[in-house]
This record gives sequence, structure tokens and C-alpha cells, in this order.
Amino acid sequence: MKEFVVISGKGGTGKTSIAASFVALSGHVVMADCDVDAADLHILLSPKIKHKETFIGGGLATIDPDLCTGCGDCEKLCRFDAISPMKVAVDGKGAIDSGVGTGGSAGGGEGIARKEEKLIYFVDKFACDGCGVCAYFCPANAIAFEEQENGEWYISETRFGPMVHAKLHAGAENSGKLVTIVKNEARKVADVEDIGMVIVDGSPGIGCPVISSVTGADLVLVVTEPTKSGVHDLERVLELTRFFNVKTMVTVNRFDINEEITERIEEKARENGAVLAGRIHYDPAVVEAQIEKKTVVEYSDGTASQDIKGIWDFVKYQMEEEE
Amino acid sequence: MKLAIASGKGGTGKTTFAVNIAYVSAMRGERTRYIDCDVEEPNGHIFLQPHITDSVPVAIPIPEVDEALCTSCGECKRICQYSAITMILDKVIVFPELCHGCGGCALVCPTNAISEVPREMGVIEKGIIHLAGSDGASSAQSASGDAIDDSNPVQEQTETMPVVDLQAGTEKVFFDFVQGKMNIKESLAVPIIRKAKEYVLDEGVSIVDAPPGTSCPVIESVRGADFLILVTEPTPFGFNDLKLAVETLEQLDIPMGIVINRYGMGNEEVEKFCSERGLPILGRFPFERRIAEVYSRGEILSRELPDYREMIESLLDDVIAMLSRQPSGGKRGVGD
Ligand code: SF4
Ligand code: SF4
Ligand code: SF4
Ligand code: SF4
Repeated sequence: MKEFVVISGKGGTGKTSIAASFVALSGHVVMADCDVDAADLHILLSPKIKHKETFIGGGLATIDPDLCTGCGDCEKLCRFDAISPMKVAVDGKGAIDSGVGTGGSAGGGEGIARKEEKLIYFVDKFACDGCGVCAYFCPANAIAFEEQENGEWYISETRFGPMVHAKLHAGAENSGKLVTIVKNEARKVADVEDIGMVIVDGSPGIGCPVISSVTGADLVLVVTEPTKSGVHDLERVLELTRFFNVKTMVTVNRFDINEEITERIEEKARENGAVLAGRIHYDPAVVEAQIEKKTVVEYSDGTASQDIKGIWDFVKYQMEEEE
Repeated sequence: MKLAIASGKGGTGKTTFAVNIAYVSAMRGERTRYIDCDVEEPNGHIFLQPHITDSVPVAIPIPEVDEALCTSCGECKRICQYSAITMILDKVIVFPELCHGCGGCALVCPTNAISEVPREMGVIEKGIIHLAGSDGASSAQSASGDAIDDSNPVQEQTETMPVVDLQAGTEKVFFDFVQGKMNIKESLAVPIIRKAKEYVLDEGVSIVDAPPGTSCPVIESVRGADFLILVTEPTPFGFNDLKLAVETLEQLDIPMGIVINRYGMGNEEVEKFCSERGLPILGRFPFERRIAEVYSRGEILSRELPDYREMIESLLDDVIAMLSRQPSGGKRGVGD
């Protein structure tokens, strides 16, 4: 089984439209949408979900205000600045009345001046990194540390074959881990259904998710565009694929926006040992196809569509050469 | 004012807007700092061409185990939430690239076998931007006799740069630059973003260019901002990503507005969504070849295209107006 990954330094270069077209051209593959942060492939492929599972990501700390004694240990221990103090009003028995939050920046320096006030600490859930250290050390056992459901992943059926995709919950972390799950599940599906290829719509960037997307790939296609930022991003991405020692091809999408920069990109690609896969014209049909929820090769037979077909033939040839 | 610029995905023109808003703000004489938190692919420098004057490595502390002191009790492995420290038979193994530097393992180790050593994962670069570009800056330079601005005069200004306020009437407008840059094959962007955000100005205008996506690095970048601008394009992909971004970022309780880039292509879904959600549309920037070309050359659109600059000016005015209507001093500033 072969794994072919389409990535781009940054998003918006047309990566997903191109990956979806490959899927349509291939006849029968398993596709994996590893752009879990901003998954778009489903728009073109209209998957029907067959199987769904929750993705458990990292943990999150929460402080029980009734148990917190205000010792401040957790704030000192937290290296992610996720914990800050807040004054609250308490009734006679020491239970919290209502949150008279002073806003974290009060500093909490003046301590418990009046009897009816108490200093407690709270966790900013957006800053919490999920290390669990505060919960482990809280002397009052006031901190709960629980695993979070960070998303879902799915095995679906599309008009071109099975698809594995995922949705990360808003603001959740660990997308690298979710990418790895999506890829592994796609491989499993390919094994079970005896399908020879997995096409991966990879994640943008050079961080954790894209590292997970590229790991174990047989061939990577980098989709770039002819802008100065494109040149810059390409260098960083190629450094990464070289590090992982994966055979890498480069295509310039919308090359006719600036042919001079296109040439520069292609030169950069060659210098870095990448194979040039060809160029793709700027073609409004790409967006029109999106609106029709189709891949561009299904929707039109225009320039972009022709170019992508050419690249796909070349990809197949490169894959065979790999054997 | 802290303005964050984000988008559900890259390539919508987020950096273009961040750069242009910063540029226009500085041209108006505001003390302005552009902060690139897109640490995986920082691109603002391509347009702003800063003189990098300083470079500070970003490191996180990771454990180092003294085998002579280790009793193989396994406490370190148990506390680590990231599987970054584990045991193989009796030996403790650290996986540096998985470690978040939380310090838990060193704290729990009963025999003090763990010490912490810094591991570099990226860098913060600081620089200044000669705003007036070729004309303004070079005339100042030629007066002092230097043909080409070499590092010397720049260096001198840098000494005082971070605290320099713009004096009314000064012709030279200062504008500076901070970018976080993650090392290749690192996987944790957040520590670098945190560091970059320490450079947010207390006074003046800070423009934070957030990374694309909807996961933790975006949240980290946007947290603490006074206003958030989400850049999208009116296509089905743009719409889908915008929805995700709004869903994520509205939890932060920061007022936000939408910029539609490449207006005129695609369909009406984005507009419909914004009006349903009551999200103000701060601008509709047409898709035009001449814009794409200036952009592709890495130039600042507001400098090259006066009509574009006017649109950015009015966008900035709208944001300022919206902020002044906003009840100030809310409960938001938690992370400051
Ligand atoms: S360590 Fe526990 S008791 Fe102390 S301030 Fe934190 S939550 Fe409260
Ligand atoms: S779990 Fe870790 S990051 Fe979260 S609040 Fe506690 S110490 Fe801070
Ligand atoms: S510092 Fe934290 S993340 Fe790193 S190995 Fe120790 S417990 Fe794990
Ligand atoms: S906690 Fe300390 S003593 Fe125990 S296994 Fe880890 S390094 Fe060794």
C-alpha cells in the first residue's frame, strides 16, 4: 500500500482542491483528511458517515472554589500562566456567595482584607496546557484534572471510495495526535478493503500536525503559489520533507499570476532535491467547482483541470518508480 | 490597542491585512508594533523588510536524569501527561520533542535525580521598520552622510527603540517588528507564541498576526487582544473555515469583525452567515489581478495602491469606533 500526501507550506494554495481531484482521478483509493484544523475535503466529497468515534485529547484542570484555600501554590507551579487569583464574597460560613470577580489583574496582593471576602484561584481553560501539575500538588485537593473530548473522527463512504476524516473541537489541542489517528485508520481501511493507495490531504505549516501527516509517506506533493511568501514557505517545508527523507514533488498553482516567481520557486525546488511536477493555471473553475460541491476535474475540462490530470499521471509514474 | 488578525486557514490574505493595518497605523503617527505569531511560517517580514536588530532564542526546560540518583520509582513517568518521559525496564528515557516543559517530573522525583536543562525550539527576532520606505528613510540617512543605511545608525536607534514614543511633529515615524520563528521539525508552537506575545505594547498599537487554523496556537495568539479581525474569502472553503474560526474564537469573548478578501468570487454564504451572527463586515476587498500581482512581488499594498490604503484606513477607523463603543475594562484581561 502506498501513501501519497499533498501538503502546502501555508493553507489556501489550492491543496485541497488538488487532492480531491486526485481522488476523483484515481478511481479507487482511501482518502484521509489530515487538515483536521480546517477540514474542507468533505465539502467536495460529501462523505456519508459510517462510523464515528470520539477523540480524547489532553486534560484540563478546574479548581473547586469551595475547596480552594487560596494558598496560591498552583499559581506558582503553573508554567503556563493559566492560574490567577480572584476575590470572591463569602457568606458567614465561608461558602461562596457570588462571584465578585475583580478581574485577574488585581494581583491579589492585599490579601483577605475584610471578613466577607476570600481569595480563590481559578484556571483559564484557554491557557491551561493540561500538564496536571497543579492538581497533583494542590494541598487541599481542590483541583480536578480530567481528560477532555477534543474532537471526533469518522470513517465514511464517498462516491470515490472510503474516507477517514476528523473534526477537532473548537480550540482543542493535540491535533498532531488526531492526524496520526486519521492516517492510521486510513491505512487500516486500505488493508481491510485491499485498496492500494491512501491519498492524504495534509495539514498546513511545519509543526506537529504536518509532521504527523508526512511521517511514513511514500511520496509528498507540495502545492505552492507564485508569491514571495510562497518561496519562503516552500524552503521551510522542503527542509522538513528532506529531514524525513520522503520523496518530494512540487507544483506551482496559479503560476500565471507571476511567472517570474514561479521560475524562482521551481529553481528553489530543484536545488532542494525536489521533483517538479508541473504547473497549474489560475482558473475560476476551481472555485465554481467548490460551489457545486464537485472536484474541479469532474466539473470542468478547463486549464486547471487539464493541468491537474497531467500532474496525476506524473504522480502515478513516480509512485511506480518507487517500487 | 491590541488587534489580532486571524483566519480559519492560511492563504486568505491574513498577513496582508495585518501588515497593511500596521503600516497604515504607523503612517498615521501611531506607535505601532507588528508581531508575527504565525511562528511556523512567519511571512510578515517579507513585506515589511525589517532590520533585524536582535534575536533571542526561545527555550523550554526539559528534564535530564542523573542515573546514579534514580531509583526507578516511575513517579516521573506517572505525572507526565505528554508521554515525554517513560521507563524502559529500569531506565528512564526522555523524549525531548514531546516535552512541554511543565516541570512536573522534576517536582515529583523523590531523589532529586531530575534537573532541568533548556532546549531551544525557536527564536524571537526583533527589528525596526523604515516606514517611509526609500524616500523618507534615505533622506534622513543622506543628511548624516551615510550612503546606505548600514547597521550603525540603526543600531543606535534600537537602543532606545522599544520605549521611544512618537513625538508630535517628528518626521521619522517609528514602527517596529517582532516575529517568533519555530525551528524546523519542532512541533510545539505555543511556547514561541507566548514569548512573542510578551512584546505586545502597553501603549500604542500592537498588531498580532495569528497563525491559521482553529487549534491551540491560534487561541494563544488571540488571547488578550482588544479586537479580533477574521479574514476570509467568499468561497465554500472560506465559509467553512470561517465558521470553525468563529466557533472557536467567540469563546474568548473578544469583539470581532470580518474582512472578506477576494470579494466578487464565490458566493453569498459568508455574507449571510455574518448577518445571521451579527458579525460586522469591516471590509470587502475585491479580487483583482493588479492586487494579486503587487502582493506576489512582496510589496505593501497600501503603499503601492492609494485606493487600497483608503480601504484599510476606513477599516481601522471602524475598528477604533467599535472599540470606543465597547465598555472598557471588562473581565477580559486575564492573560495579560
Ligand atoms: S493549590 Fe489548591 S488550595 Fe492552593 S490556591 Fe491552588 S487550588 Fe487553591
Ligand atoms: S494543568 Fe498545568 S497548565 Fe493547566 S492549570 Fe494546572 S499547572 Fe497550569
Ligand atoms: S517536564 Fe513535564 S512534559 Fe516534560 S517530561 Fe517532565 S513531566 Fe513530562
Ligand atoms: S521520579 Fe526520579 S527516581 Fe523516580 S524514576 Fe523518575 S527519575 Fe528515577
